[in-house]
Amino acid sequence: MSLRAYILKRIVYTIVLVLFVIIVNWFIFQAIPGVEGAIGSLQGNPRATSQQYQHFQELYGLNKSPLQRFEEYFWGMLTFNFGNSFVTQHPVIDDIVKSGRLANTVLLLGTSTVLGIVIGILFGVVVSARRGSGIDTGSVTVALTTFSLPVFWMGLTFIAVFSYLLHWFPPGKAYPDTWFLFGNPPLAQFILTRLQYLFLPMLVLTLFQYGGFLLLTRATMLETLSEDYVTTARAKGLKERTVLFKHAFKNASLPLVTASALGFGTVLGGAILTETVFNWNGLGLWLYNSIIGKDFPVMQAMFYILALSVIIANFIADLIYGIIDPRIRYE
Amino acid sequence: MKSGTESNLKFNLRRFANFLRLMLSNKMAAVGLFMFLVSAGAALAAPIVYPQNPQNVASAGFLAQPQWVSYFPEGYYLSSNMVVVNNPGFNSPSALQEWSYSNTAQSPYVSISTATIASTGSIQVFSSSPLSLTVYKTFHYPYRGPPSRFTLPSVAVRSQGASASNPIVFSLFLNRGVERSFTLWSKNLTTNDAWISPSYPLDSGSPSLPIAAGVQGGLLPFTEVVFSREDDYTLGFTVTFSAPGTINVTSLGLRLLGNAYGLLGADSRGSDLFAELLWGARTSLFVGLVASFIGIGLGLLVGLMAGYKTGIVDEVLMRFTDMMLVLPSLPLLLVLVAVVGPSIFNIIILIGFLGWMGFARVIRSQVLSIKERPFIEAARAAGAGTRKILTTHIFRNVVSLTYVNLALAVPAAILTEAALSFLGLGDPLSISWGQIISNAQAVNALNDWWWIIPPGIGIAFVSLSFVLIGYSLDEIFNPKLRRRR
Amino acid sequence: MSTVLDVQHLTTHYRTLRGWVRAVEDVSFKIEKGQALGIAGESGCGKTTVAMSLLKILPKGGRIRKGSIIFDGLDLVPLSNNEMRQIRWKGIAIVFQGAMNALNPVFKVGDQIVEAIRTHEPDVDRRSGMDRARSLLELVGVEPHRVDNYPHEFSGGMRQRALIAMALACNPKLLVADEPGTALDVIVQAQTLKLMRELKDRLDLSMVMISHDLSIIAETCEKVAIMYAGRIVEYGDAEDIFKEPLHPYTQGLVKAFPSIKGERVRLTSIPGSPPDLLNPPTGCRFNPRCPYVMDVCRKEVPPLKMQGNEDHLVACHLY
Repeated sequence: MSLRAYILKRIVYTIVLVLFVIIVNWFIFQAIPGVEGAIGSLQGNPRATSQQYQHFQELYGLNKSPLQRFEEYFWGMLTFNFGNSFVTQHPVIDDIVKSGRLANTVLLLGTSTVLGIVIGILFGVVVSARRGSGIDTGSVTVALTTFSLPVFWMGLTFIAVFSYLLHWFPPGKAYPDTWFLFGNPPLAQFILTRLQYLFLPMLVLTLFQYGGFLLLTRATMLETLSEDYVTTARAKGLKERTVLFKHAFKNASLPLVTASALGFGTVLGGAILTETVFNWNGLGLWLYNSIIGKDFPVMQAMFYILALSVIIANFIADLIYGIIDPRIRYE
Repeated sequence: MKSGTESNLKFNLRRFANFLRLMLSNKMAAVGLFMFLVSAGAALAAPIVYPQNPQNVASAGFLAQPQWVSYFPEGYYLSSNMVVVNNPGFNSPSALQEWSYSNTAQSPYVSISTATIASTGSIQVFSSSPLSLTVYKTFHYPYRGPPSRFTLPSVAVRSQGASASNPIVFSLFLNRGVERSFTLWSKNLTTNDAWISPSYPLDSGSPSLPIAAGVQGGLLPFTEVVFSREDDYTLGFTVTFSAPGTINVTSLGLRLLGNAYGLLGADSRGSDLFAELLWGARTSLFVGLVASFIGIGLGLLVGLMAGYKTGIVDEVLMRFTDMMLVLPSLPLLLVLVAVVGPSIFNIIILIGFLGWMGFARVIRSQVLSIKERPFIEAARAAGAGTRKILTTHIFRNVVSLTYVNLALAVPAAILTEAALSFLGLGDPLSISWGQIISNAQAVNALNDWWWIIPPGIGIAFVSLSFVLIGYSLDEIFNPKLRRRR
Repeated sequence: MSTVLDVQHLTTHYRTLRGWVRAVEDVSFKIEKGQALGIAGESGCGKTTVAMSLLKILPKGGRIRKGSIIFDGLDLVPLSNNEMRQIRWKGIAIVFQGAMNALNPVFKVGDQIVEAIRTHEPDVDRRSGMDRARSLLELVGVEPHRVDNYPHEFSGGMRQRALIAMALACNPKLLVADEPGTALDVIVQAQTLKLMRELKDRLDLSMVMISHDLSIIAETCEKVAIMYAGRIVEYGDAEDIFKEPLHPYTQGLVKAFPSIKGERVRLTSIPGSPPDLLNPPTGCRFNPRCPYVMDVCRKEVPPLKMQGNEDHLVACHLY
């Protein structure tokens, strides 16, 4: 199997996954007395006229057959046409993209994930070469502990200490409320202030992620370090750094790639909690608010988008795997 | 046959003992085991030590700090709970001994009555002539700072012989030293035979109380006005008869709720946080253990099925597993809990049913790799039944994997439950650590460390105990990670 | 003739949770230029540990506790890891078992050879390194264009050849071959050994060949050292040792292998099993299995001393 055939196979599989998510998403929200419930309560409202009722029925397509509705829903999902939010009445996709929520979440998630991966892998590789030493035991213990700490609690304690007690960082939000009321802030201030607001939630999400990467890297490295080709590399007179990071790590990274893609769903859960704690105006906070406010179109769209991002992460992982490991193309 | 099972039992016991010894020889596992025993002890002890749901009991003042803080310099002003009246229900004649009377000659007029309201007795004052009598108790308030709150719950009086023209005047007061008197409640009793309570709660937090006491427009909380210093205080009531009559007073229990209490203080409703912490251990462990048992059980089932039956069954099961793995679990849980309602059983079942996929894959690949091993081939060649061999070998390999994954699934379930509770989607009827933190955040009490910190440590402690056990089990069982011995 | 390698009293132990494993104890041997020494013995007797000690690539916990390894006039034992890196591959190269995972699966074979060259000759550019890799593969009988293949695209025999080619990449003064060809099928194994012999003659290689198979050593090596439980029990010219084994262990070992050319004799195995190296037996380590055991064997370690003709050494109280 050539690399191209392998990629093609993964693409087909990815499409199947997307279809599965679309169908599951439909059934979940069919089970909820969501739209019907919301409109049904209109009927009990003496101020609502039957024209209004009719209007909403048409707006949400309740007068159509389930099959027609599914068809519309299906194409809506594929074209990112999710309907309007009950709360803001804006198209959901505008509330995702134009509101800056997507950018905020990508900023928070991106920086913390990169940091978590880099720190976790670096420590994992270094520690695996010093198995049983103090630094090994210490790193593993710290990683296991951060692994066990609830992420929302970490956020709250950080706010209490670094914001309320020390006043080093703001206690929440993505940027000051007063921004953009009077035009855009100057660029330097824009960047510095955003970094200041970003720091605490990023720290929390980084701590949430790095432990897993460290432990996994360490475990796969320990397995790899006992392989014969590592001994060969040492016998060749390579520097220990080259042995670890080139010869051992490239092999050890294979399970790492798969595991981190599968763990992406968990990271999203951590992001929801972090954004809620820090009142960070991103998709996670928005999803939480939509659940509390029973904003069904938003819930449905968000669930779809989160699942989609996990699928994409898995697809990317498959690609990376195919590139790193020459054997997979010949399976 | 019988001896067979017996020796089997013995063998299993010995294996278990060996296993335990192996675990205890690993430092991490021993620490984890110890931590687990501590948390399990806390969970079991909770309903014995605190039989009542602590969230329904006001044990201390609002946001009372832990008792031990008062031993530190910055806690110099903290006050503790005080019960002023030993027997507020007047259940025995000796209850009179703690009270004094303004006119000692009149003391025979005062007696304990069996007239009861809600199974308590009362103090009875009888007069055959117009008379004013004060019954009081003086106590020392030993703290520099005021109590967080004081209450006189369910005070009630009943008069006999009163009329509109000849009312019996009842007045309940609390005096600081001799110079300052606060009337808590005064009432002209004109009707007879009915128990009468004040129209407002006799609670320092009630806005009517300062008005009755004649302290108006005060910026300070009423407790600080009354208990402004360390001094002798007097609780008592004055009865003025203008004609012969009798009055019964009950439930004169003045409670001072301190702003220091217990091991871990109290929350914004005055509930004992240590008791809540113990109860939280119950919820966490229960949810964690049951949910992970469900998840691991399902994973075992699916994994074994997929591993045993190759072909279409395997394909379908594994595709489904992969698809389920793609669904982000916390958002899915949030949506589903919002749909089915946040009862603890719903939460357990949902966490369990969303936690089987990873383990199913592990088990399946294990079964497949065992099938490929040469000894299976050899045994088959020797004529042994494939099924039996597979079963014994797979069982042996799968058991250790199950231990490891079970130990690692429990903290995941515990953390998920905590997250749900924190987001307000936990069972409102059972106390959980996530819910305690959520309550603290709801009233923005992030600075009240005694409220925020312990439940987080609790979650981390229980999770870490399982993580340590699981991690070291993995090191013990997984030959690739095993150290050279 | 000049001495390439002179190992004196080499003692290598492994530190474990239960104590020191005495894997190699007081081992001495010499290798002259162009000469091959075979080290033979049962598995677990410390042969591979000797090889690893020469390059100082012992696994975790392994430590050279005594002795000297004089290579080209320089004692390797006190060298730091950084200094040792210069010796590896350029001075002493090693050929691992081809059937094992000795080639890194995620790098092309050519790149792995070029890496070895460029580590020791930094001024060689990639292109000329590749050219050298091609001619090396040709030398060992693999088509040169295979440099662009990954190890999994090679057969077991080709992998073994590629490992040999890689070992020759920096023209080492000494080649250590750790069970070459083992676990490959007999024909491929024979081809591999033939290749090694040819290369030895053609390049005038000095070699240490480690094997549990006496016949392999008999065909390739001038000198033989028989190891048992971490010690050399007999040392000498290959011909002498195979014709006239002196040590009871060597005698057992020779009897345990069939000779392809020789007359049919009944093969016998040595009863018992090798000792636990955590607590080796006192005195001669072979005494629990020895058919000629005497009281002195249980008390004193027999010294390796000359017996019969010059250069035939044996460590046994019988002589």
